[in-house]
Amino acid sequence: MRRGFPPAHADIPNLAPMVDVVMVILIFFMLGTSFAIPEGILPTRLPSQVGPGGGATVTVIPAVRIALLEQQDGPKAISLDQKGACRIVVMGHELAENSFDALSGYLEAKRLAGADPTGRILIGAEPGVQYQHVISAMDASVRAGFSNILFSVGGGESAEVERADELP
Amino acid sequence: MKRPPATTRLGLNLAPMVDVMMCLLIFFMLATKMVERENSRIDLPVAKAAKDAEKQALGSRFVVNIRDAALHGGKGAVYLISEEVVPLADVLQRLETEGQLDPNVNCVIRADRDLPYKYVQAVMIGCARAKIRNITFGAVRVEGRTG
Repeated sequence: MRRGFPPAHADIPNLAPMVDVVMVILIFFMLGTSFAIPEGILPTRLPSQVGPGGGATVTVIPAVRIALLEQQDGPKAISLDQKGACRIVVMGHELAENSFDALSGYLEAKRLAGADPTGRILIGAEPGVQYQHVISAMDASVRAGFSNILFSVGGGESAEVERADELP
Repeated sequence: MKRPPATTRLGLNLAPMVDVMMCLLIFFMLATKMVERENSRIDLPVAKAAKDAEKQALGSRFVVNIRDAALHGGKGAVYLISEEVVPLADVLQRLETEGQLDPNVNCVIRADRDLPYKYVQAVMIGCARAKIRNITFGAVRVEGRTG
């Protein structure tokens, strides 16, 4: 005959297999998660002239023409705070202060002086210029309140996104 | 004669551990996005004016990733489509195809910020040839790596 009560722990389910499985799932999700910074976008459009002739040269009269030139040795080669400096030329003249904040300030002043914010801003860059600088020029234009930003893509018989007559 | 004390069975109480693990599990499950990876880990350029990518309706899109070839043991840049390294000629061919299928397709260019502009230019020229007018540049508002 059985005497007394069974020990209290006899009814506790064995959690070890469950812990094993949960551990595996946990590790899977830990490794699969990446805490990345949210990504942003800068949308732009190619001009409508680039149509049936895909890549045909078009002449654009921009409100502001920005050229980014590879840095060359000499007195005018002003370093930017970012690596791989370039020279910023606006409407044929180098900015006194060679920075994208100065570019944004210049464009904003132009807009406040009455320039049409939907006017075309044409950005051209030499092939060796860092991509970051091209985006910074676009960023400066957007921050200054301009929305119609185009890119010139020079180069031989290649098709063009948009081209000014020549880079300043 | 005195009897020896009854042996007591010692067992670990796993309940608190299970609680914590469950919380962690739920946290990581919610934080993980199981989506098809079309975006490589790239040091995108910084642009304070960049719009939130998740809030913008890009519609039909074609993503071209451009990475420094040094990461792949080469020189220059490599082009990736859906995590697959493809030569530039294939990228241009794909752009042609996408442009024919949907002229309103949005070409998203995600390029390493330190690369020379010419590698991006090549894709933009390809878009012009393929009659794709919508181009979107991937960027981040603060310095860092996306992915």
